[in-house]
Amino acid sequence: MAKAPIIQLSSVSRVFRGQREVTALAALDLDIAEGEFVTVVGPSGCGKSTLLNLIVGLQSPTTGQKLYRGQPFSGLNLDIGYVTQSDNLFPWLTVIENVCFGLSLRGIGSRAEQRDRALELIERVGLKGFENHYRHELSGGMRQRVNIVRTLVYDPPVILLDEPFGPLDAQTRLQLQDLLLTLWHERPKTTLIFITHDLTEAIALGDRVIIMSARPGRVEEIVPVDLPRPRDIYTIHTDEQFRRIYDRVWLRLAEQMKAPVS
Amino acid sequence: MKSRITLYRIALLLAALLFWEFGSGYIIDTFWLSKPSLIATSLWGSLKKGELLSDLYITLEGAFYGYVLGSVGGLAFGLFLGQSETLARVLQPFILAIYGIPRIALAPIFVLWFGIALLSKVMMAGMMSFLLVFFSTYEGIRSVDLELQNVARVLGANRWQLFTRVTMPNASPWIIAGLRIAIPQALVAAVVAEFIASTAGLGYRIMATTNTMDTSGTMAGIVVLMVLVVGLNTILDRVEHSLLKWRPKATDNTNV
Repeated sequence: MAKAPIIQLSSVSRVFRGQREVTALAALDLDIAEGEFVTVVGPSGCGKSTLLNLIVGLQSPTTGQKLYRGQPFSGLNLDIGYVTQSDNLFPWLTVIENVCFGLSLRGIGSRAEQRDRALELIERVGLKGFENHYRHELSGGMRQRVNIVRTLVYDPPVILLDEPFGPLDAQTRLQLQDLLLTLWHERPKTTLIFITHDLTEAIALGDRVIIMSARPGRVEEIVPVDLPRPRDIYTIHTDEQFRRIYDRVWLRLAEQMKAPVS
Repeated sequence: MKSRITLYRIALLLAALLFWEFGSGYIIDTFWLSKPSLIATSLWGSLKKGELLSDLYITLEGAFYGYVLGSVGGLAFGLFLGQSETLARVLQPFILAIYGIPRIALAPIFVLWFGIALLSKVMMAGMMSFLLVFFSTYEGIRSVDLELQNVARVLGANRWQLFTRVTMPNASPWIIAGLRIAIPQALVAAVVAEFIASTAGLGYRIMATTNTMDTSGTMAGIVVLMVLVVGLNTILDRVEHSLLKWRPKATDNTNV
């Protein structure tokens, strides 16, 4: 790899001890380069969300090592932003207050500067005029836009996204994928790790697609996506090369889906 | 639509009052039930004598001090216990037991302990408010959404910020509901304390008129209490609504 990895996981495992032990991740190795857009697919229950929780530090690995910019770290890593699957907007805050929340907690800039930064992004994602709306006044797509902007606004070097477009309809998904790519191109150093169950989405967005095995989760295969950027999200699936990558990823994933869950 | 409903309500109220006014004496003896005109006369009389306002003041004073003390105490204790998992679990059965006592049953002994003046009313109203506010605060703190807490931590919240900017607003509907329910309950508590033993106040007036078979006077006291509670509830509805305007309305099912 040309660039130094920003995140390195080596033989990381995570075991949950409940009524019976469940190994969510087993001996997982993964290097992610700075500025990379990595997508993760895998059969359901393979520990994809656990992987993100470990990377951000909401959970700690049972065994193995995590490095961030070459340094081992434990606990919450505030350089890493996390866009969760459900929008998790604070319902008592308006759109703009939700977007300013991280800036305000971290004390970045004056109140006016925080507002300006937030407003600019809110406009970029087409929510101008909704700044003062509460969560229950927004549609699912709008909420997810706010959820993404809330993390983008403080410019974390790494952003994790856990099926952020999962519950949205097909059209809204495409629009938001396009928007995400545009915003990422404006921040070339930002590293994105994006979980999805939609292969088209995984290939259309990612530089590499990481295929995870059935539980206990390991990295089964990493498929590089050598499609040129910028990509046109609306037509990319008709591309010849895209189809080839799609078939390859799909076959690998199908094997994992057939594997008996331990 | 809304104005039509209001119209129907007024019509219903008028019909009930007329029925009471002219039915009283035919169906049931006026002695037992009194009637609106007599009650109005009785109210007017006690208003002119200054009794009504001074009774009102005395009862409200006891309810108010009790409410403030009890609410502050309940809020503080609820927040404290909401933070301490161990202590909460140790105390839980005891608190439930105390909560299970019919509070009215404590009124006689409170009067014995705290006398027949202001203090026993304050203590009754205070205890009532304390328990209600404590319970709702505690529930609110416990009900905090773990995912929202994690989101806030990732966004950079420290422990204090987590408490003030996530746990507290998250618990606010519960806390406000407790503070709200406690207001009429504090009033009831003060009146009950006056029933047991007192020399003035709305509860005293209701007891005294009943003892002298003055049903119009009793009904007048009850009417005052009713108007008071309805009035308070209307104000509290408004306050609650403006404080919690971020919550979806119950009728708004379009977004969950």
